[in-house]
Amino acid sequence: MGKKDKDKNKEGAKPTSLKIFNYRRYMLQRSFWLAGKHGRNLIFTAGVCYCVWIIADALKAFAGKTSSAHMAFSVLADVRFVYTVSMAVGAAGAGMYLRERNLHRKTRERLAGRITDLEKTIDPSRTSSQLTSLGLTRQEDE
Amino acid sequence: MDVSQQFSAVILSASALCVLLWMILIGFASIRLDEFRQRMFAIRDGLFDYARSGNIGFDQPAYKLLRKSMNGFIRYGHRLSFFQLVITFCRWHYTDDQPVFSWRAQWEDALSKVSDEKVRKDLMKIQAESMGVVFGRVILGSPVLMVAMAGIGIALLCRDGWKSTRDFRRVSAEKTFKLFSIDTDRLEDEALRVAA
Repeated sequence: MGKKDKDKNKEGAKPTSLKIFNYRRYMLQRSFWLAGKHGRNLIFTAGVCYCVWIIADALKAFAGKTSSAHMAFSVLADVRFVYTVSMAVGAAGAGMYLRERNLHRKTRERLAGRITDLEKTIDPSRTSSQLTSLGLTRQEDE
Repeated sequence: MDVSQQFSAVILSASALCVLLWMILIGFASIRLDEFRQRMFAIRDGLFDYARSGNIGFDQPAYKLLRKSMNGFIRYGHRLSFFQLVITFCRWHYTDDQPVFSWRAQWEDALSKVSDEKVRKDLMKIQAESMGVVFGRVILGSPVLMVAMAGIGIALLCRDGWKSTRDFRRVSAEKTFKLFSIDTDRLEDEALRVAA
């Protein structure tokens, strides 16, 4: 057996199923996973940061031109009727929605178990969507 | 407008923008997810009732597969958006994760085992109904897809005229998916994979 054949045998002896850890691919995979999981929160946080930056910029621009007490007072004084009404209606709507949603979740929690048990008597191999009893995404599926 | 008025305008606009962002990205998204799951649960319950009335056995592969697919959609409904699809396609393209192509073959095989033609048609209708809910979730969650679907809808109206609302919506949605190279079978594959 020549040297070349020996080398070939050595290469052939390597387990082909063993994957070489690819750091670049792993990082890409994790990046996609993170972007998918936190993308929306990231956009929201970026938006809030932008708003804070605008306010800070405005504060800097007006620094020295007017006193902080005057500015705080002027903001309150400038809250117009239309703005107040829209904010109040919006907040009331959001509050009512949240209350209704909580009631809906409680009802779901109360009835889901019963429905599952009844369905299992008819179909013992019944498969589940794996949501929580409140009908929410499980922590590990986020 | 004096300095203090300008300042108050900035504060009010910025705070309103924050609230708007929260509503669009968090609040509205949560309502849409609940609605999607609710509609999918309703279809799944309809399938259960259909089997319970004796049309198809609970142990039939077609029933099991359809239910499993719906379970997958319900479980991972929060990841069913255009943004998430783009991320998934990028992941398939750039990493070792590869899609599993099994839905079409399994579904056709399962349907072939159903002897009654009417039941087969009913099951296909239920599957189309669940895909319709998925179409709605993906398209209505993305302004890009919404604009594309509106354009396609207008083009279809000009070409074929009005026939029925359901068909019009379905065909427009399918063509929008095709335009963006979104394969509905891949969505079913993912639903099956995650429900396993």
